[in-house]
Amino acid sequence: MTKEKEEAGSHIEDVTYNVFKVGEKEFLLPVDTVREIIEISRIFPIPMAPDYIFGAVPLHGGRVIPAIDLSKIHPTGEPLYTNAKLVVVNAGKENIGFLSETIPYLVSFSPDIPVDGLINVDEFFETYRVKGPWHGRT
Amino acid sequence: MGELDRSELIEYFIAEAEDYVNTLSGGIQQLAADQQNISHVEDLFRAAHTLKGAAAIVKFNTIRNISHKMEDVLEELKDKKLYPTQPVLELLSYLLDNVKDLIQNIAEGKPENTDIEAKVITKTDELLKKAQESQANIPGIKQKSEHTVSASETALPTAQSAPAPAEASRWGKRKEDSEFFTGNFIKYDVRKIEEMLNLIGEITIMKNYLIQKTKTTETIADEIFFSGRRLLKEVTNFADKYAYSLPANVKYVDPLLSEFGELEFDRYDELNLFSRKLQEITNDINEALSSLTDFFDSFDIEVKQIGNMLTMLRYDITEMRMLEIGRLFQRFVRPIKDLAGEAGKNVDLKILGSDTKIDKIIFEKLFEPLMHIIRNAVAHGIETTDQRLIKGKPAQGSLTLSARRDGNAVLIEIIDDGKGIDTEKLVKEAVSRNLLGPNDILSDEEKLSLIFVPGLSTSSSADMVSGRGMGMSAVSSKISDLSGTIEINASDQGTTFKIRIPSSLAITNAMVFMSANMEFLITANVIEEIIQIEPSSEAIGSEASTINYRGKTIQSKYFSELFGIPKSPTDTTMKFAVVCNISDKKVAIIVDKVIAQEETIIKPMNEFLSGLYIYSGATISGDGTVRFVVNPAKVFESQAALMEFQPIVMEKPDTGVILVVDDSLSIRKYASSFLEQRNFTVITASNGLEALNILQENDSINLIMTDLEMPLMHGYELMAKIKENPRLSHLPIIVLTSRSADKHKEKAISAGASDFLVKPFDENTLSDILKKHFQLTI
Repeated sequence: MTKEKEEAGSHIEDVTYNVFKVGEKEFLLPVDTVREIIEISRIFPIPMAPDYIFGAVPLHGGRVIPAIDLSKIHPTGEPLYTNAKLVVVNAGKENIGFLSETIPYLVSFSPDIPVDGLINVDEFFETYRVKGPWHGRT
Repeated sequence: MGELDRSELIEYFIAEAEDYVNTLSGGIQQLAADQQNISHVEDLFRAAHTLKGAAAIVKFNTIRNISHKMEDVLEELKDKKLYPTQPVLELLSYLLDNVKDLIQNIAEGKPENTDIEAKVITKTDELLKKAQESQANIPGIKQKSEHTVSASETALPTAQSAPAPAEASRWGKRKEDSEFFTGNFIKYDVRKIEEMLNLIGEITIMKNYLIQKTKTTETIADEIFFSGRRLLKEVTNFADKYAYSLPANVKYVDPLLSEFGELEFDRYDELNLFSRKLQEITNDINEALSSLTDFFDSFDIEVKQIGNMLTMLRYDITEMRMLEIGRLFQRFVRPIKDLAGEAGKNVDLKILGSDTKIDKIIFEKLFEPLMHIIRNAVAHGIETTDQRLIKGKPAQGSLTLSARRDGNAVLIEIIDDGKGIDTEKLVKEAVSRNLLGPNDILSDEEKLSLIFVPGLSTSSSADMVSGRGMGMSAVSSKISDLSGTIEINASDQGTTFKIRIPSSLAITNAMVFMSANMEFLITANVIEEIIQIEPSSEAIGSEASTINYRGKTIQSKYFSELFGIPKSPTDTTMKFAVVCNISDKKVAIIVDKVIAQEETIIKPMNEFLSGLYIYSGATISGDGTVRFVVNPAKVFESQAALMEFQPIVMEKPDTGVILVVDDSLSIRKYASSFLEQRNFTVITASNGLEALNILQENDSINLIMTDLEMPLMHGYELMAKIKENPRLSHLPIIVLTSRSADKHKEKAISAGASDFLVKPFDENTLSDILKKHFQLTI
């Protein structure tokens, strides 16, 4: 029985992640949470938003989503956002975007390999959702 | 019950009834197909019940009574007192057919055919009795098999119903349901309309982008045109100059021409021909360019026409989402009657302006706050008949719900002639909660507005009917969420609530203003007036500021200050005070510039950002700029309250300030990012002299990291200067150099360096050194 289980385990499909880069660090998103990757032509400042929110990006349908700068949350080193892409993810009914220096690529791992830099989108959303105005920002 | 236009109500009734009839006829067919499955009888029962209620409102008593019969039969089915045998189903179909006929008549504009009622009811009773008797004869155990049999029996005719119209009529399929009613209504999912509006928004943005692109192309065309002219001019000059002064030694290829003398023949050499060609080509280009210009002229007009059509389309689609507020008011009729009945009060309800249209989304969100106000009015406002008579008021209390359009907004008034609001009690409560000082003097208006303060109430104990207290503040906040305003007026002759709400959420009229060099919007319906104020005015810049508005002192706030940008005292530009109505109070937001008023589509804030509640939404302008919509009510919420909502973000502790001196940009960058990650503030200088200047101006520096070899002033000299200065001599200096020789290290240490690091330095070593100096764990 145990042997069967083990065998079944080894045949479990690999988990695919979307990998994107900020500074010196790579972050992983489960591929099914990624909605789209968009080119950013303009980012607009959001006064009173915390500093990890780089700005607001207009999306199709007239919606506006926040672009999150992970370098302000994790030690990544100075990011280079000159050709940044926005990785738009689904968080519940909402969408948020992560800034990436490069076009993200896909990798697959066996699910039992622990991955570093994995973002749980729902958890992230809850933790970093803006709880109130950010005053006196310099 | 007032002035609801009956013919419009009938239209609604027809649209609504169609749904119920469809549910019923579909359900009866389903029952016929599978008599075992009575799970949806509940739905049918409800449909019949609602149809009955709807008919009662428009006083179609025959439809009401027949629906009532249907409801009775369905109830028995539901309670398993009756089984869906063929006679029962036939009876239901018979009733439904009659209802359909009645509604059809009404849809055709004829009055309700009341003649058939008696006949139908009698027949129903007969059929019902028969059905009941036949079922009573079946012993319980046999029932199941009986039904199975009849199920297969009845399923057959249904399946064969199409070719045999007579058969089909038994199942209510006599007329095609799709063309059943002649009304012009369809039901449609509001969210689809939302999607359409989104698309229109996007097309509008694309269109504006297109117009911009056209302008760019036109500029390019102009440039080509201009260059072409220059080329033409040059070529002409060139041709003029050389056409007749050809060098004598030119050998003509054409032997024919060689016979002619210099002036005997216009000779064309290669150059000449080339210039001629150039002229022609340039002319062609100009020609083409001028038709291009023509094209752009008409193209521009056409794109603008698309714009106009889009606007019309947007209006029409928005209109689709609009409902008459009368339908909302109708929902209060019953509860008011019940409430008044329970409280033993006699209330006359008047409804005015029920044809005023309002966005479906607002419509839904208004129910709760309005219900609250109405409950209050009936439960607490209007007195009992006895009390009224004592006061000399008419025995019957009056409650008026009125709505009318007011510009882009809808004004809803709820007026009762009850005893008003006990403001003294409110003040007492406020004092007891330390919200007011015991000696504070308030105007009547201010006393009244206390009712919107969370937790304040006039009734000492909350009762079942209306929560009180918390309620009115919730009402106010709900209205404010809809970008609406609420005002209250009360005396012992009654209470009036005035609610001003945008008629549509899809398209909002908003004022665009500029502050802190960014554009923001405030919805027009909350704006009372915009006034210019003197730049010197004290109102700007002070903490608890006020301005004088029409002889009254009102609270004001300089908008940029919210972002921590205080007004510069040297700023002499004219400012604007946007006077807004918030919960029965006027306030002024002082902005740098008023730009325009525009109609725009406002999207709610992204959930991730909803904590930034001074914004009620975001909008994208024609050129694609994201702008936020400011909610004035939240701007004036006390700073203290706002501060409680500090985000969880790690405010980086400032470990210290380090001056990095190096002539290499990459080293400065690298050191900066390394140090900033460890929460240091970094100041950089590219040589000793610059570093010295910074040190002289800046007291906050805790440590210096310097290179040795630099232009203008090298590291040794810098260290010597620092050690000479008593104010700076204590500062630790880390030398960072590519010179690894001990000679350099010794010299640096003797010059005052506390540490010596060789590039490329090891991050851990640097960390250790920093730990030593800042006594902390990094």
